[in-house]
Amino acid sequence: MMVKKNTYRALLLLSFLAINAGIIYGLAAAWSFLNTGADKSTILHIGGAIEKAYQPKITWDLKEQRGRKISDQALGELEKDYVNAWYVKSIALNSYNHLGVEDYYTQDARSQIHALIKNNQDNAITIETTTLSHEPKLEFYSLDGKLAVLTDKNVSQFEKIYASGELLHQQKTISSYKVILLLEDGFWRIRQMVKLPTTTIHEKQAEEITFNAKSWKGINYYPKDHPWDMFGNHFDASPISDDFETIHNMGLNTVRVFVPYETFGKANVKDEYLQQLSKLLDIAAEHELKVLVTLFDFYGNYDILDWTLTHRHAETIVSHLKTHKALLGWDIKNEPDLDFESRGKNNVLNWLSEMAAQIKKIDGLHPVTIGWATPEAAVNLVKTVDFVSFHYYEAPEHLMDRFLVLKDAVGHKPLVLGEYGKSSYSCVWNLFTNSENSQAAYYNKMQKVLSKEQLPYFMWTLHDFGTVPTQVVGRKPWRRAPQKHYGLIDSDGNRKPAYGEVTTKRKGDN
Amino acid sequence: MKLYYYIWIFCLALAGCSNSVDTETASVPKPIDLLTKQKEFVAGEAINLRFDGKPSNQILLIQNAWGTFGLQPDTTEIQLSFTLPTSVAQKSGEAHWKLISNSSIMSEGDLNILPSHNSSKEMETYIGPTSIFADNKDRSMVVTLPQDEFGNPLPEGTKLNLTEKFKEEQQSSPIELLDLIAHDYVGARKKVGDIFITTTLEKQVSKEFTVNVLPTRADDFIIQMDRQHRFADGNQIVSFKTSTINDVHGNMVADGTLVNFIIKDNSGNQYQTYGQTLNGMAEGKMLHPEVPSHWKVNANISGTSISNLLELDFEAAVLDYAIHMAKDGKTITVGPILSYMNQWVPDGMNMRLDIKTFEGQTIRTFNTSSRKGMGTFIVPNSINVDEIILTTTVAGITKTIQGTPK
Repeated sequence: MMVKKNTYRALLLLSFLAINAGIIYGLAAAWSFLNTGADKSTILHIGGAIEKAYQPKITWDLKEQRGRKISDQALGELEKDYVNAWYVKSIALNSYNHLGVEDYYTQDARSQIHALIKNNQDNAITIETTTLSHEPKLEFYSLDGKLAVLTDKNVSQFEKIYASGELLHQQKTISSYKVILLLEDGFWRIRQMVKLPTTTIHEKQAEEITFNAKSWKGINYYPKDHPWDMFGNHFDASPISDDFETIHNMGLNTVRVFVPYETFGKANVKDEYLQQLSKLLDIAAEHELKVLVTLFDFYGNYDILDWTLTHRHAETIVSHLKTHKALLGWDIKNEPDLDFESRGKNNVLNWLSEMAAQIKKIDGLHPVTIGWATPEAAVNLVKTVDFVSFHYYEAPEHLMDRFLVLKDAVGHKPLVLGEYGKSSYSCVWNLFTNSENSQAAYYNKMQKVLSKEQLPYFMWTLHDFGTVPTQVVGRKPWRRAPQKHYGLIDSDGNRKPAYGEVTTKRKGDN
Repeated sequence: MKLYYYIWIFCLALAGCSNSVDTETASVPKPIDLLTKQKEFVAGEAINLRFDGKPSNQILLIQNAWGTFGLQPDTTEIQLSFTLPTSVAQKSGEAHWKLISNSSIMSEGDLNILPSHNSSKEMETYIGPTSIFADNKDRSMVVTLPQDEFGNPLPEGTKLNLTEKFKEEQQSSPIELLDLIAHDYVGARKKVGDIFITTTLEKQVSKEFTVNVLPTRADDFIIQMDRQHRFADGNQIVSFKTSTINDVHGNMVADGTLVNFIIKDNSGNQYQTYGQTLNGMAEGKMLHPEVPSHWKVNANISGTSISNLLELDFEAAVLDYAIHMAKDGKTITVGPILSYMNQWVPDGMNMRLDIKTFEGQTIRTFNTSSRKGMGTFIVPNSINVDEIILTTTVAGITKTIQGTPK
């Protein structure tokens, strides 16, 4: 009886809470609805620019084209629809969803696609696929501009094939196709495709890149006032110049900076941001510093259908900066091993290894690395990178052991400590164990190990920061607060004791 | 570690007491050989790939032009074999296959499927543009996609027949397949007409296509005029007629071509009329003027051609007329107005009364038209007739009255 009574009480109480929660939610929703005004531009009903979801590299060959000479405008439309045809097919292969297939394949071709999808559906096969590059040669364009034939050479295609949800096989293939397209209802539609016999392509053996990692002594850099957000409106050359002067005077010769993927405009990199990054390298050059550029900061998708967008992003930045004299190399991504669990290790590694290949294709001179979060993760993709980079924030006493294990696994590739440091923040969260002096002691120990092992390093970081964005370490105060105090210089501009520990004497100094 | 040891012992024991085929499947996967030796097939042929192994969880991946197909082994066979679905077996071109078992490639290879020998009944053919000019240069294009019975393009170099008929002349020419299609130009004619086109390959035939050859830009032309008499009576109609308008190759321009007639008179006024061609000729019409005039007329087809300049005169139809003011000093009667045969002018001739001050400033203007050769104006009461000059104008002849009749 008593139990039943208590159950009723509990139910009553819970329903009371639920009703209250509902009311508060309703009020909040109404409030936020009333606060959303129509943007004035919406009056005009101007359609927003649709971001292209799929951007493989397309290199046209228009030599010896027969029929009518194609205009740039017509070629652009043809390319857009042809690429979309591949995209809708990728979606259909992955989800059995035929959306868009009607738009980009003629009736006959469509039935072939349907047969393909049905076959795979019957055999419980799903395929994640993307094409990375196409080299179409326009063979023929009809006089009335309604029929085109192209030979799509060396279509580089990546596929992950799943049987009943289990990864069965993954493959990167290079194939060539002859394609007939018809212009119907304003869409270029694929009418016919024929796969051509595979010709083996001898991929150029990557030349050994020469660089002297041993000499690198560096620091991870964000300006004091705009950590994790230094480009765009916040970009200010003069504090950067002052900081780089300081870094140079500390006896360091390299900085590691970060390029946020979304802020920079994803596949279509904003020119303003690119110029600012370029300017940063100019400033570094003035202060005799080299810059390790870390791409894809805050990126975390890795989905195969997202690959081509990231490739265009890297293409723009790498080709713009590859001749810059201050460029040290490319760090593809900061701590990607942290995404192993949420995104799948296989997905992350595939993306990284393809990205490394894409970057090397554009810039064959600068070394490529990946900024792994731990020494243990750094054994991944050793063959892909030019030097192995890892981060270490734990006790200096254990660095040696863990480093030596990694060193054995890595072989002859140079190793770099991409991030290390200690917060001087002292509070109840860490039982008041940290202090500026303990930070100095940490650096003292670390520098000894590093110089003994001749391990190149990048410290974290120059400044204490006033704010840390939530994307970096989350919202928990016991995680955010220490993150603000990793600097060698405090927020008032005073040098902490650690500053003295890391400043190396330069030639000529007494 | 010990567990593995026992497993090994168990496996060895199994191997000891069973035949060798079983040990094959139980051991670590090793490459499975393809038994089917045939590598080149004809579309539509049943394709069966047999392997040296037993069916278990293998999957055959086969990539052709449309994408990658995944296949399960045939269940009815004791030996590992895969029957390719018709959609793969009927698709010509290269196909690459991989046999996958336990996530590793057991075997891989290529197949080449040739188009079937039986061709499709209908020849897929496109023609465009479907109308061209008879300027001896403009051309249309025929593109044809010959196919086998399964819709595969035929081999490169296949020769097709293109037949073109224009008026009495009919000619056939071979066209060759290159990059999946065969194409050729038709047209470049001087004469207007329809070109009929068809493409054939053995039993595969296209439907009949038509390309219209249309006349091109009109050449310059001549205009003439036609009128009932030469008097400026404001009643009769003068018509302007063009000669037959042709293009440079002598083809009559299309019916409905718009011809503009521009008329300038000696007072500097400009009038316009237009006509549309029928059988190459157009006619524009204009009312005779009411005052003696000299007209210069020419015609054009916008942007392409012009005619000669035609000049014509209109003589005065009315030589003189009378005006009379009634005793009340308000009612002015004009007429009778007599025309060239001393007949009343046709009804509707325009008459104007201007009321002016002595200084020549126009106070009011009244218009009316003639009826039975007569017209009447009434000067408003508000105007003192003694302080004004009244002027009438009919057929370009002006007359003045001043003051009240005594």
